[in-house]
Amino acid sequence: MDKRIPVLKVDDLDVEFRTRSGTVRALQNVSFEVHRGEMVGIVGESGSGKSVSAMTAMGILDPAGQVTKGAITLGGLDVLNASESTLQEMRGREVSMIFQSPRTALNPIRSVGKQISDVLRRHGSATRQNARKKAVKALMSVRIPDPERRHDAYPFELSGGMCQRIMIAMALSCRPELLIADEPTTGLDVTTQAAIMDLIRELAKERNMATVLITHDLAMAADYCDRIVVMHAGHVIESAPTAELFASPCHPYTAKLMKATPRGEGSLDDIESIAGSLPDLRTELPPCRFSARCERFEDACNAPHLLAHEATPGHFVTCRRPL
Amino acid sequence: MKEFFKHLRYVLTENPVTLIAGGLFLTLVVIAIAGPVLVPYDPLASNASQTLKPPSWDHWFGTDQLGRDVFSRVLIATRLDLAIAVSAVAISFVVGSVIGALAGFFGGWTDRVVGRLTDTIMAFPLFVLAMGIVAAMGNTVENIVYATAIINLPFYARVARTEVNVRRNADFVLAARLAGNSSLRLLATHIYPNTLPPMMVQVSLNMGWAILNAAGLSFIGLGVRPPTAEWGIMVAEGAGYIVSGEWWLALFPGAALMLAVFCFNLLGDGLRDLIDPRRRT
Amino acid sequence: MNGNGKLRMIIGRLGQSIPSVIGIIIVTFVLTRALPGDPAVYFAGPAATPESIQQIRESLGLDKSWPEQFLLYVRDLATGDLGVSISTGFPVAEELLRRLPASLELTLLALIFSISVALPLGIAAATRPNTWVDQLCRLIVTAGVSLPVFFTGLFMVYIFYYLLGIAPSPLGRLDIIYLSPPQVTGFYTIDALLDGDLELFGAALAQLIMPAVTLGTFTLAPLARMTRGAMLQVLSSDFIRTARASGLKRSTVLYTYAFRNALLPILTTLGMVFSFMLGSNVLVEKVFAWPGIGSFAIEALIVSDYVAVQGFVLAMALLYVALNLTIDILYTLVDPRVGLDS
Repeated sequence: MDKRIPVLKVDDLDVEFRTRSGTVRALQNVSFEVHRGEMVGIVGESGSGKSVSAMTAMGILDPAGQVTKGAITLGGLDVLNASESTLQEMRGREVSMIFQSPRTALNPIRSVGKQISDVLRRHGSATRQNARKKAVKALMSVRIPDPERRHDAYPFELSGGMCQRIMIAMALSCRPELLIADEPTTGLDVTTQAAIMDLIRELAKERNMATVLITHDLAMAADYCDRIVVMHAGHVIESAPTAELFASPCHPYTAKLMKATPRGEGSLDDIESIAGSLPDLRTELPPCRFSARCERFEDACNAPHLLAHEATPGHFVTCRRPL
Repeated sequence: MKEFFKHLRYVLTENPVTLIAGGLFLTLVVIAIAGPVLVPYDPLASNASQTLKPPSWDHWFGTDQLGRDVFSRVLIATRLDLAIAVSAVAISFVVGSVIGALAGFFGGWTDRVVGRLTDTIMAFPLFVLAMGIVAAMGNTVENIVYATAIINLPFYARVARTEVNVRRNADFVLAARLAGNSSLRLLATHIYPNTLPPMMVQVSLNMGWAILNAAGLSFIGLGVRPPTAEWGIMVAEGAGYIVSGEWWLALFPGAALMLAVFCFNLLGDGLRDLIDPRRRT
Repeated sequence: MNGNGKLRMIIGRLGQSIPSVIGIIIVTFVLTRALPGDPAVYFAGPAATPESIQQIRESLGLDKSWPEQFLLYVRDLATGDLGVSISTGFPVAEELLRRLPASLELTLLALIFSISVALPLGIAAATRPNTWVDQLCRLIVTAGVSLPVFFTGLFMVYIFYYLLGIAPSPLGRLDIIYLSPPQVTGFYTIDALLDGDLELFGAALAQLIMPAVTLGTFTLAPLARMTRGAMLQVLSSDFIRTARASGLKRSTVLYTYAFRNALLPILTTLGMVFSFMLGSNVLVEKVFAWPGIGSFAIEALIVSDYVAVQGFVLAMALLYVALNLTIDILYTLVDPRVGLDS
């Protein structure tokens, strides 16, 4: 058992959304940990609750969302009970987040350098005098060529890959302990994807920073993450060190996910899609939300109080009939 | 058809305000048509012994400086004000939507000429342009109508142009063209009717503004002359009496104006809700 | 976008307004020369004799062909000659210039009032959806769009002057007991301050308040509606989420990030607002007996002084073009993305 204190600890989290068509039980019993220096991948289909978990951890959940159970500790801080001003101090300084579609995620009418300066000055890492210099240094740290000139550029003048580097620069400018990357490479071309991920890995190693990589791309998670947390329909169904997960997946869904992921080897015919689709989270659902799509489903699977158990040390699975 | 009524009922119940606006609109139309029958007094009859009397049971809205019953005058003015607004909007709509449709369909020179025309009109502050037009053409009620129509033209031209442009390459148009329809026929019988629903929304919203415009012009002394009863001129005549405390001469025609404009604005909003989901089926 | 690029863009915008100016000149020409009836009769005035009509016809070149007349017209305009007002006997251009400061003072104050109420209201309504602030905003917007501006003015006079007695009598820029301040800008308020006369400043301001508020209330509605709408849209965009995730202070997110972006559609609305404002100016000047170019035009209309009316329409139109140009330039300065397609 890892005796180090985790940088981020999400404990038995439940999140609901109040919508016009009913209450969406977006997250249920979600738990995971991230330690210093490690990259944890949160993997799952769209709508599995990956982003919601991250937003809740940052305290920037949509106002329609409500935490109905659980706790989140970030660097010792109880996030769910902290005041908005405490959280504002924490964001950008102790924990940062980067998003997909970097071009739209940046202010279109403000120069990228100024946007970085804004963050630096907000958290006291720069004054008005030295802000520009520090912003240029931040640009250099993410390998942006000609940073002096690029400082005054606007997002629409830069490529998607460059914009993502800018976001990374912004996020890491105040040297946070944790970086949450929510689908940072979606929408970028393959070469740029690799470059961005390599950059993130390198910077994380440099600063001994904890990273959460949220992605639907299992292959990418395999290449970069130390541990992988698999989510399905608002549940954490399996979590394990990467090698272990791929060597012996315990949850039927994980196995199917792997079979559905192209690996650059083998033919397209080898890929199997997963039958069915995500269940409607507004309705009353069985304890295992994968039941409807699972080939191994039995009546025993409907027994209530389905919790994660440790199959092998460090390898957790939430299933009545693990593989 | 049944779909339409189901949707209509949904919109009306979902939004009771639209229902109220609809009721108000019908009331206004009834008053406009039946005005002369409904008035308790002759709107033009002056009575020297009854001047400047505040509202009472005899005279619900009081009397003006010539002893005329304000309530009757306000009621009868409905017809004139609505007539001015309706004719102005009708002319504006017909001319504007046609030239806009032609511009949107044929593009090229037609588009450029129509564009120049609308841009030129919109280069003026619209009310000022209306003043200029009435001054030049002569101070009559017809010219108030024409002036209001001209300044509203760009509105309709633009909407028509956009709507036609969007539908120009739609599948049903292609099919009709293949069936041998000439361009103009295509435009007239297929495309143009399809653009009517969104334009109706504009018409309703525009009606309120047309009323305000016409009233503004008569307020400054254009078009309508005393002793004609018209809301704008009544407010103008009543304006002089406000400082001496006789508020009823100006309030009631002003309130009638406001009510009419309000009604059309609400109606327009409600129409928009009705039309919107059925747009571009 | 460097300074040079912006300058080029501004010059380009200036160029784009030339067709509008040409159109305005043509329209004002057509309005008084080419419409039904004999223009000479109009220009000679209601008390004309056949001889004076013929005189006018010759002196104004009305017996020449239209293209010739047009060229004469343009030449006159270029030298600032807008003709002579038959009601006052003075050149129209002179009359307009003399009365312009009064209208400008009124319009400017109305604009300041309008913006300082509409913008905060719209922002507050957008950041507090479905609260009383939001409902108030919506109420003001709906009422503002339906109320005739002259109606609002009259009733402000009734309530604040007649009933409550706190407003001065609506008879122009200054109460009779005061003398106007020495002319520097033509704005009584500023000139009074420059002269060091605080009492006069107060008196001038007191006369200004009601007409300015009346005019401002009318333009409040579309501005507040657009501010609220634009803010709502901007606040739900991706970059605001990034700003919040970076821990930026609420005020920074709201003003430096959200509002500046919302400013773009608001500026566009401002153009339409100016059109309403210049038109409503005329009505407000009538209600409050304000001696600006609006009441000049109204008086001219009554006595059929067509030269004066034409000059007024032209002046207002050119003012409007200038205002729109200003907005365009402001837009260019706020949005670095503009002008890339040229």
